[in-house]
Amino acid sequence: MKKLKYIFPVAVLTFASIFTACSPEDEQDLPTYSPTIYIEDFQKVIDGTFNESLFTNVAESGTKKWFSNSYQGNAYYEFSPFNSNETLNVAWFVTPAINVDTAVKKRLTFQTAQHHVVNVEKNFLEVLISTDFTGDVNTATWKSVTFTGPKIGSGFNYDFFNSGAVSLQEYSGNIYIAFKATGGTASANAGAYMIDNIKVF
Amino acid sequence: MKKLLLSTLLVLFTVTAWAQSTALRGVVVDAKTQQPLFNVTANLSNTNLSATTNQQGEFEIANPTSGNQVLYINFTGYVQKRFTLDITTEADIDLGTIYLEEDLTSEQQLSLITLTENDLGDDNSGSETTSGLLQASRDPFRQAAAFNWGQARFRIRGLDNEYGNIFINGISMNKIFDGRPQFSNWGGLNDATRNQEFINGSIPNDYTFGGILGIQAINTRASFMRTGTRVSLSGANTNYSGRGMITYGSGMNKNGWAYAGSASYRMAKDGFFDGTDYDAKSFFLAVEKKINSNHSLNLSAIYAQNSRGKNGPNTQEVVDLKGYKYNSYWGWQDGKKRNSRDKDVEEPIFILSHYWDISEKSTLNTNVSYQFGKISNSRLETNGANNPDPTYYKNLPSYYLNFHNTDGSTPIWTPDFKNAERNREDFLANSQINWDRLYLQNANKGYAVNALYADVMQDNQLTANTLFNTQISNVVGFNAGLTYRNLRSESYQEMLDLLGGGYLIDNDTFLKEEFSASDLNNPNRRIYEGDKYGYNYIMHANVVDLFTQFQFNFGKFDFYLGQNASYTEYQREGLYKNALYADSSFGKGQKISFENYGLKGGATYKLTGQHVFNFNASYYTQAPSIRNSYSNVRISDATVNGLTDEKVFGSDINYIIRTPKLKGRVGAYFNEIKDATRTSFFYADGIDIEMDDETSSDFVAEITRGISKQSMGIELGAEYQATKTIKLTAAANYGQAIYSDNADVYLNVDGRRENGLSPMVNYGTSYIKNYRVAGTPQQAYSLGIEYRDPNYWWIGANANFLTDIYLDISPLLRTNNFFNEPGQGGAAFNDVDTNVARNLLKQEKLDDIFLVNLQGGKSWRINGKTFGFFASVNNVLGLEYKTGGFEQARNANYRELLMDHASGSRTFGPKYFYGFGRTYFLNLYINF
Repeated sequence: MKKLKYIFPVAVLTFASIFTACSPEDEQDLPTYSPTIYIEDFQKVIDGTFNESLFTNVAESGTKKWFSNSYQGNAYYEFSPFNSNETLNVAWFVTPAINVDTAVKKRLTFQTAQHHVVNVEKNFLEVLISTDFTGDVNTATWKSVTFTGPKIGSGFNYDFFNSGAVSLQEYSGNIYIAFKATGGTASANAGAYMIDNIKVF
Repeated sequence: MKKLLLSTLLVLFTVTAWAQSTALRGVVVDAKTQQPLFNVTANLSNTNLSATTNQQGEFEIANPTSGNQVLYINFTGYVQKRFTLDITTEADIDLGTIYLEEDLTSEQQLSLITLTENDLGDDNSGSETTSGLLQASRDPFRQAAAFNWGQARFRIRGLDNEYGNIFINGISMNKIFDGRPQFSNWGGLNDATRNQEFINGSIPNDYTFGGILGIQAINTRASFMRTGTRVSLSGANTNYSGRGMITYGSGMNKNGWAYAGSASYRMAKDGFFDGTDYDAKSFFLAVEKKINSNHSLNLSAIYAQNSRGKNGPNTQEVVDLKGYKYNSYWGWQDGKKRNSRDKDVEEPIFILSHYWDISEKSTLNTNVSYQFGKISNSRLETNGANNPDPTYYKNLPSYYLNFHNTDGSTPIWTPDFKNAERNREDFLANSQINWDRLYLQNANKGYAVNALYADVMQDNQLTANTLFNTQISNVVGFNAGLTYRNLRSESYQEMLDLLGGGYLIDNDTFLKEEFSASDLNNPNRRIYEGDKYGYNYIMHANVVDLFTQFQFNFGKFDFYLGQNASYTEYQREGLYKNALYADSSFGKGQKISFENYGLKGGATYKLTGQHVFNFNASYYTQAPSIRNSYSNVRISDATVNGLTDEKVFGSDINYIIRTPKLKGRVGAYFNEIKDATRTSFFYADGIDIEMDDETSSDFVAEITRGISKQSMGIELGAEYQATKTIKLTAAANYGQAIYSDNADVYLNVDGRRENGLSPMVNYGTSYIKNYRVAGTPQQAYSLGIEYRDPNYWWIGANANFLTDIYLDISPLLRTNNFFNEPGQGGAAFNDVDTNVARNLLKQEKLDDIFLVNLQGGKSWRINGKTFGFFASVNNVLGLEYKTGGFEQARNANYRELLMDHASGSRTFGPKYFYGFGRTYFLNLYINF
């Protein structure tokens, strides 16, 4: 029983060590985030400093290409087959090479809008990714991605919609993202598509 | 372990079997009147041996444990006496006549109770989240914590009062709903509840295994009440401005009957903060019958009715415009101040107790209690009309000062000074609720677009327990207790006042039509005043708790061991079929149950009677409270994901000194709580809940899981009798309470059900590690001086410094969501600067508090009657100070927060609670 009194020195020592070990640390961790490694919001279009030559803007069918545009201070790229006088218009807008190795989450997001789109069978927008693009959209290998497109209907004209997260987990090194729009001069197929705020993170 | 314990016990029996029988006795009288004192407690420290005095003031403890022992003589309202005795087995000890002096400063207690009744603004909870276990006691540290630091919301060991237990006649007053006591249940009955016992931390007590904060046990037995009549009148400028109280105790008559009764009334037309009216009537009755020398029965009934207008926390902007006493909850109506947030508490308690002295060394106390009644909290609601809150963010200047152009990918600050100034003038001219406009809007519509309703919680609780206490031998004392609690608690929304609007349709107008019905079994119901609507459910709870405790006393060295096992069961029964949760809102839900265990132990080493060391440690698991078990209990029986027990560890080590001149304690404590859950409700903007519509604002429940809290520190309390008349006191708490690990945050967003989505959204880790736990100053220091004149008057003064007071942090703000741009699939804002982020998330430290308090009193004895007064002035310097506050979770991301900081005057800044400025309390009393 006498030995039990050593419980006190032991307790004192335990307390002393706990107090030392748990002494105030005022360092807190920040929440983590995945820094955006690529962003294109096209805002430089407004003051004329946007350098389109970094992109590949080609018409695969017909003559209509993507063009820059802006509305109430927001700039974006648009494709419109309206008045093309061509039955089929297909245009590609391809980003410069984006190295996804430094992306933490490996995701792609962007926004899309439409106006006057009626027939999504013949007037539609695709998003494709390639790793071997060298400037010619026809020789590269493209893989289509699933995304949330703009809502169709006159009530949604010009409204931008979020794509949702597109996973880039399967990629490493450089990738190229293509926005491929299809339409025609027929009024049912002549709706326009708009893209904005392309982000990789 | 069990075998070891048993064999230890057997050995102890044989060791002590041949001890001779001796006795320790004495007679206790009032020093002033020389009258014998009845029901005075004499107990030998660290044993279960105690006795109470009979009508002649005599007590006797048979077979006291031999060795160096300390005997305490305690009687409420009198100064405690202490005897250090060297007890041998050879001879009786007769202490002769013991004179007890009336403790004049015990009047101080009467001024204190106001502090524990302040609401800290938690509308969802029925009970109060103030400092735990605030009452007078003999421990100088506890006295400072209660009297001097309580007004600054100091919490002992940084612990919430759910980690302590309050008992009335052996019955726990902690609510099953949230684990906290409802002080209003016995508020105003200061005289009737003045028999109190305090136990720090896990030190053994007769009632329970106990939480790590300790216990406060109130005894309202009729025979323990002060004999005679006492009338007191008080004036104050705190919660109430006037109080009257009358208390009578009969003492025990020849036939073994004792009666006691008390009634009090407290009122304020306007309390310290604007528009806080107060009206409280309290009644107490107790009858005791001593059946024979071994059996007594006591019935105590407490009925405290309390109605008061609340005051809300305010942002810095509002305080700067209107001052710290400003309260947005009230408005003028017919020349009177009408508060929209009233809290009404009416929950009578009946406790029947049986006291059985089985033998000289064993007692059995059995109690049955029934408590029923309701707590209701009122507030305004609007259905399509403008928000009636004068401090609604769009009414304030900062709304325009923090204007941004958000068309581009990075917002541009575009303050609108003209409209800000217009808002400032409008707000200053219209800073209270405009009741007339609410009535007018209703009259114009023909139905209620504005209405006053109450969230009501109506409880019926039955508690029964039996507490056994025995001294097995000179060395071993044993306690055991078994408690059963059954709760039926109905919660609902009640229409109080349609404000002239005729009726209201029971639909949630913010939801799509097919999801808007509160009750699909009764859709589109018209609601009139007095009707239940919105939500309605019953919570059934059963709790069984068993504890045992062994205390070993070897003279110089004592130790104890306590064990506890409990079973808790909750079941929700929905009375409405809510359209959002048609499958989980109506009828009885799944029973959820928890089995919990606890173990505690400690030791005391008496170097001499004057120098004592003790060490205590306790570990237990605790079922989550009802409040923290369900994700949206009002309309669904869904429980919190991964619901789990809380794990609680507490320990302390103390050195106690008791020389004739110096009494004190210095100790260190270390507590750790793991797996705690916290739920809170708010309106959230800017939260990325990935719904397919474009809105990102919603009413949400925030559930933080896996919270780890650690508190440690050093406590010191000492009083030094410098001369016969002058006493110096000192107390200090150097502590630190932090979140010791990160936690997980979920949101329950009802609106997602409209889109067929699960309402639960996982926000993942909240990086709260090393942030401070808020709600208490973490450092507190007090110095006091007291002069007691032999002619029955006294004055005292103390100065207090409190620091390390932190704002409560929002866990949601500290998840990865903080950096995510809403709707962008997890993409961060493109303008993130981690240094800026660090500043935005830095925990705000509130200003230090310096408080000076003065007290004094005098009593006269004329013709057998005692007249007296007690007066105090608290916060003499009139310091305006914040006692705490919380971050609004509304702006839950980097960008919103950055925009909110643009002008320097925040729209969604933290809301602060303020302490009382200079307050006085004057109490006049007469005892006869």
